[in-house]
Amino acid sequence: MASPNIISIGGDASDELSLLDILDHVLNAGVVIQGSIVISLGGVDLVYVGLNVVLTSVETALRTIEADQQKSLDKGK
Amino acid sequence: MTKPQNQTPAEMEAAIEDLKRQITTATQAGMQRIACDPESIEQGLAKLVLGLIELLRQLLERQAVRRLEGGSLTDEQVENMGQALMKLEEKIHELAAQFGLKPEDLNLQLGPLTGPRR
Amino acid sequence: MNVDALWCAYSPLVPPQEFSREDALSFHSVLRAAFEQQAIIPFRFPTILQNESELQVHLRDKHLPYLADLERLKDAVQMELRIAGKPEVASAATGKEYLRSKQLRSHALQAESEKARTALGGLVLEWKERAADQGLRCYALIKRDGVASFRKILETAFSSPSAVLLSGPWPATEFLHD
Repeated sequence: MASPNIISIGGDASDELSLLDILDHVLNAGVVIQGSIVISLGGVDLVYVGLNVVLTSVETALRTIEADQQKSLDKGK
Repeated sequence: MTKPQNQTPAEMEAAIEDLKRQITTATQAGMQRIACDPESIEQGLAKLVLGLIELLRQLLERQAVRRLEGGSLTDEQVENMGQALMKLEEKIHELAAQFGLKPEDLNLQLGPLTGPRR
Repeated sequence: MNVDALWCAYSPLVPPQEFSREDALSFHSVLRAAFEQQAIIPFRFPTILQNESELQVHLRDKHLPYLADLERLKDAVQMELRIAGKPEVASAATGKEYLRSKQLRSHALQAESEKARTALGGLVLEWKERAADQGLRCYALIKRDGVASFRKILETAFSSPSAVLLSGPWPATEFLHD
């Protein structure tokens, strides 16, 4: 059984908190090996090969927003 | 007047790296199934999607505050940016509520672990 | 599995591949047991590979950086601080006010982390922080034997009920170089 190692300063530590913290670490921290990312929906495993596409789109979108803002800034000068 | 340059591309890179990292985290290995027991697949999906949107909103908010502090924006631009972000935040909360989700449920990383504990 | 001087633990996957919270927690116990003895480099859960040789190839490729990290982080652990902002619902009258309140919030969080970092002084070997979940997440690399002092210092610095959560020690995942 995983034992709590979280201290809430000025409050009291609860097991729920420790559990969440442990899950957070195990799921989010650590080495990632490049490979397929699997998402499960309703018990069916879907291999999400489209992740890179999503990331690329977000990047492009952010860059475009930034470029537009820059352009209107420059116009205003 | 000089363009506020070098800072912005580097900031964007850092922000994008951060976002990539968080998206990878959020979608890796059916995290939603492990970290919570959603009442339905619908709610689980809503949580994931709205969570990602909330991530983006936070990113945009940080960018906006930095632009505000940069001092090179007009009052009108500041106002527009603020209004847009405010509406976005409201909208996200509205949508979340429709799925029975509270704002803190959208924290993909650690659910309700926000705010002072009393 | 041993590749040169690296030792790597893994387990075979038995289909069906549904992972439960319990699986994640057992994974954590294995990590903890190892971490109690020495520095480790954890993989995220779940990391799924096709077969053993894939793991071997990966370890061969990265064995130098992994070894270097393990050596460098031999006696170090990672402590974490979560500084949470008040869950205010920002309802400002104008866009400008809204942004200003967000700015104030960000500064307040920053001030708390400064306070922590200053209080800890030389205990901190390395420090990293990033915005997360409407708050700040700080990672401090400290020596393994500094954990008790770390806790004590922060408990004193943040004595009144405050939105600061401390956790650790954890393997130094934020301070890897690979």
